Amino acid sequence: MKINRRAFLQFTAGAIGGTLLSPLPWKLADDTAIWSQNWSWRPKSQPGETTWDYSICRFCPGGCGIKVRLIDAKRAVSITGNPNSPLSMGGLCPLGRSGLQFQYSPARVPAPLKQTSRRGDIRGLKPISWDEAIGEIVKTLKKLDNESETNAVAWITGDTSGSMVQFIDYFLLNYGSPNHFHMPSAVDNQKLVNMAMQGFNQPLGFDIERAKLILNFGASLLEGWGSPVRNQKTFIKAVQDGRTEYIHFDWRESITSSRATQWIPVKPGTQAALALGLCHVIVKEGLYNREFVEANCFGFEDWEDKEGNKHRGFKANVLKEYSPSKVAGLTGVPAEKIAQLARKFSKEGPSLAIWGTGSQNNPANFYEEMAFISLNALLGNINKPGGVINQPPVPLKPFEEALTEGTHRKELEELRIGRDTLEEFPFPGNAIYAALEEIAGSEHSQVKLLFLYEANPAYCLAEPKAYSEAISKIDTVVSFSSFLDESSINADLILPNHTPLERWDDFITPATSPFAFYGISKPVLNPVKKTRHTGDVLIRIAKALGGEIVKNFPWSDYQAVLKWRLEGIAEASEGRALEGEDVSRVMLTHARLEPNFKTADELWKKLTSGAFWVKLPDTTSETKFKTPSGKLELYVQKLKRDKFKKWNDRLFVANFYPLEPSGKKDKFPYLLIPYEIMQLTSCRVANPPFMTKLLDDTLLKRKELFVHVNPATAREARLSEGARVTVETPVGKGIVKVHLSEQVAPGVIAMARGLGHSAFDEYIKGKGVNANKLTEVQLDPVTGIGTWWATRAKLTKL
Amino acid sequence: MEKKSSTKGQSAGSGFLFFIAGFVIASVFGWVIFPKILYSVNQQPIKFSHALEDHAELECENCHFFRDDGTYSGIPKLETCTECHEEVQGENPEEKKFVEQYVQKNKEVPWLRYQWQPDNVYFSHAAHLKVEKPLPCTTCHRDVKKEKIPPPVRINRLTGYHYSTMKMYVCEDCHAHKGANNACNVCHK
Amino acid sequence: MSKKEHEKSSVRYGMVIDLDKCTGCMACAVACQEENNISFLKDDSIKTRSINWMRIYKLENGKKYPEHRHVILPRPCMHCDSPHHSPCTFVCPVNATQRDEETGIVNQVYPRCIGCRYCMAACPYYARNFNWWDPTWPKDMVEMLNPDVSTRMRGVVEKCTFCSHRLLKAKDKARVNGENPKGIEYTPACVEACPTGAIVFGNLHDPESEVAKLSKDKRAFRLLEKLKTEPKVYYLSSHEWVRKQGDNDLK
Repeated sequence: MKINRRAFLQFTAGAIGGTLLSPLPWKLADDTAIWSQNWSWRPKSQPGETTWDYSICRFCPGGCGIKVRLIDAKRAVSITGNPNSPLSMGGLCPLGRSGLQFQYSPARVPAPLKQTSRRGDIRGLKPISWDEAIGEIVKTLKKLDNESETNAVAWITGDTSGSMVQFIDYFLLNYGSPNHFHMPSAVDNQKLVNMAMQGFNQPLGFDIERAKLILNFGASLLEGWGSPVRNQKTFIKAVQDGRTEYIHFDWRESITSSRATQWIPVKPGTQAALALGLCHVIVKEGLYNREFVEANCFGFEDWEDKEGNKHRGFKANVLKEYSPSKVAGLTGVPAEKIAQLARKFSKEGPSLAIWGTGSQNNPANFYEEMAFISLNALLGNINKPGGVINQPPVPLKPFEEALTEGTHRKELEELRIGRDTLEEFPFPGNAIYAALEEIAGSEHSQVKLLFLYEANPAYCLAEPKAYSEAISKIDTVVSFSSFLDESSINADLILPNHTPLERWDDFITPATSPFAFYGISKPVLNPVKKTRHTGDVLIRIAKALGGEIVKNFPWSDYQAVLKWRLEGIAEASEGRALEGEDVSRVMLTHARLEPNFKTADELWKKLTSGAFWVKLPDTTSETKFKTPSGKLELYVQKLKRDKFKKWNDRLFVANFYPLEPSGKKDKFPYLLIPYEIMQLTSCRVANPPFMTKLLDDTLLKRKELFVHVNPATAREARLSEGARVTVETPVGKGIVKVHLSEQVAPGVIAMARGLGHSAFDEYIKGKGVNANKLTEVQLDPVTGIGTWWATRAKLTKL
Repeated sequence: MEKKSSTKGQSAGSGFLFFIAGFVIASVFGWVIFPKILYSVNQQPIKFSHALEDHAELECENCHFFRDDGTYSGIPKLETCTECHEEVQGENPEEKKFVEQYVQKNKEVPWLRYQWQPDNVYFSHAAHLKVEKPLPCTTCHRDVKKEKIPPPVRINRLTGYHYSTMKMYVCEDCHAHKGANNACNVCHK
Repeated sequence: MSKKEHEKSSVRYGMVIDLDKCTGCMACAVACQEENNISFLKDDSIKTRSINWMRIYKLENGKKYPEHRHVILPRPCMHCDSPHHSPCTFVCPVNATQRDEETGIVNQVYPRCIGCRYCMAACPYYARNFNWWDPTWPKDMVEMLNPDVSTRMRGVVEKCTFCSHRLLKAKDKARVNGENPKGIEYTPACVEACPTGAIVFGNLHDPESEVAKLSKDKRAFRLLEKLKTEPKVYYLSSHEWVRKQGDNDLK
């Protein structure tokens, strides 16, 4: 038999026939279809048992309660709100909801890293073991101690919402350094003004739940001010029920403006003048709360001091300086409107004036906040339902109780960096800018070792070059960040902290909350990287340092620290662990909150299973102000008179003293004002992909940021929609595009904060411009706190 | 003519042979060899038997239960097995292996699944069991109570499906006959 | 057949979004992405390429500063209830999208989709998204994918499903607890996420339900009603300029 062509064909025909009658082609076709439908390289999520666990969101100072969905208790798949939280009442903002994108971020620090090349070289960061990392820090600390240079250690803390900030303070106190600074916050100035006027060194609370009329002097209630979710809920409920009227004064038609019952545009930065204009009308027409002002306020009328010198009081000043017609000129609000608002404000009650900017990271000017507190005080709106509230303290055990030896804190204060600069101010506050300036300006920096805890000053500080110039003089920078942020990349050593979902932490009354609040944020996941709790690391370092310090750190880990502090609340037997009660209802009904715990253990159990400790403010009895006069001081006596170059009585009462932005008007014709929105975080973490996706394409397109400019202003500058421009201020410049927007007041360049990252992941890096780099910081003449609100700017078409 | 026809006859005869040969080889390949290539044969990590006396006495729902949220637990977790097998109970070497290798090491057993469905499928056990007339498990699953040892798990190399994985037409067919909803989102997620 | 069933079913899931209550925080859109494993791109600023089931629009009153006002309008799939077919289900050549006549939910089966994008052209609301690339996640983020929703692949269309997987789970829970699963109440992720309760979801055919009542509110309107697509998503606004824009194309 010969295999010829024909035989071959016949064989093939048979084979084809056999194949067709076998399952092979049909099965193969079917399976290929199935294969193509499943795309094996596509990630698939393995099902498992769902459980929920509780914690507190730590991505802003708001303090919202969260509930995390876990699969097989191993991985987290979603975050929602905890309905037990008296602050967020089950709600959660987009940032909190995106929390898992931080937990599983590609920008996480995998293990302790040491810079082996020059600073800023990300490839030079090489993993080392924890023992090596801690050993290196202990070695440096010991060396500085031996050289009696303990004050060469400085620390910058970004998260001031829990006990960690006090624990770090305690560590430094034991080691012997007073140089603990924290990132700027609206609270910095508010605490000082509150201290000066009422004698309480704490931020203010606002009872927005019970107010009937709220005059909002620029607080972005729906864009990050205070506890954003509480604001959202209260705001919308109140407006919908017609219970509360919100009148908002702002230069931008923000979502807060748009949602308010009434939005009254004001010229940028003139809200304090408007408040004083209202004060003028209220005083002139006798609409103020006479009883309260006479009994509880100092310096309303003119007064005479012990030496017999006559001083002009608040009343005379406001009557002389802030007539509605003058204020109308300053603010752009018509004089009749000012009078009308003043009458409305003093008639309907309770009415409340609130103020502030963005997400609370910008301290205001001293006099500005005095004006708003004075306005509230005129109506006796202090510690009253629907008023300005002095937050009751949370009776946690103070760290000093753990000290076994007496300390030399007083002497330590003398060694504080930046002290010389701040000494020049009448009422000094948060010294971070003064300190950075001093370090940058010195030839041999006093600071040799700088620690960063949950802080990203290289990005987040307005005028971040203040930081970069300072660290160029510092030998070693150690970051405890969980993420490869701008500051960590420029550090010499990174000792990654657990993420908020992996660590023990706590949350103490956030700013703007009218009640005292305490919550435990507990780990809901096991650490997925080689990270360690910074608190645990500090305990280990303290023990390794040896000597007396060891006795002062009796705790095994940071969880033990929290438990120990909680004993304070149990001992005080105050407040209640809320488990599902509606705190706003409790407040509205004036119900009392009886303690539902006896021991610290019992309270700990409640707080770690989704409950929150709350203590309501006392709004019925008289407030005992801790001022020299024992009253609320409209004329502040605590300011150090000799520190003013030339003093007069006007400097001690509320006034409109805006900080003039530098630069000439003809060179820089516009005002650059940064603003914030809920979809773009400007906190220490970079925007997560979930939120970046939601940014409008009139804000970010490709890699370019759009500044928003009023069409009239754009016309003047001959700019059309989408024009590429250089925006330049006295401190920096950047290339952006222009979007014409009727939401923005003429003459203003509105620039979103939160873009322009040079670190983190590829989803955010290199997009847009960092507004902080263009923002000018000025030291407040009273407090020395670095503050900003607007910067002069110009636009040049490219 | 003759030559031609003889050539024709010869070629027809041998041609038929070639045809048969091709047919047979292809058939053997298609019916016997191809399935062997297509499916990988895997053994369960532990030769678990549902038929063992102690297991057979249990109700299916003792180990394959519904969670309170309505989800079905499916193949039991180690936790369920340790309820009885904290320590070695009998003589069975497989049990000893199970206790030593998994229970004592607190490691989940990597059981292989016979009725694995891809991630776009949502099969509701509740809809078929927690109803007026529950379907017997054997409608879709093997009658495991008769199995002394678990059969090898034959996984399709191309699709990842098991040899006996149920396809959509079976579901659809039954739904149509019983008048159940056949909309896509009833089973797809 | 569909017509008959359409009229028969007592369940029509629908949604009411109160724009007066919306504060534009977009927590709904984040929750949606998280719940439904929506992929993201390195550059998500090109909105025709970026996938988003709950797209956020800005409506403006067209006036100048300071008379200018805007509202934020979140837009899920409308789950059109027009007779027989929704616009998208009508054109699908492979039955990859179809309306469940028992619930009114318009579903999408990814493995079945051939990516012809007829449905996208047919949808007047731009509610449909196309996967131009294989969805990818950074390695660690695969951990946070929701097991209740399958991930998609390159070349298929996806859209809001009213979180129909949550309906399946709610039904199962009801069955296990001995309750009747038909017409059961469940909450899509966006509804659950809204801090101000601006989004309400439920059975439009149940006259006692909040959605049914709100949908008859005098502030209620739907998008592009003139096209007779019968959307099951209603909006509420007390501003006439907002309601008027409902019948125009959104920008």
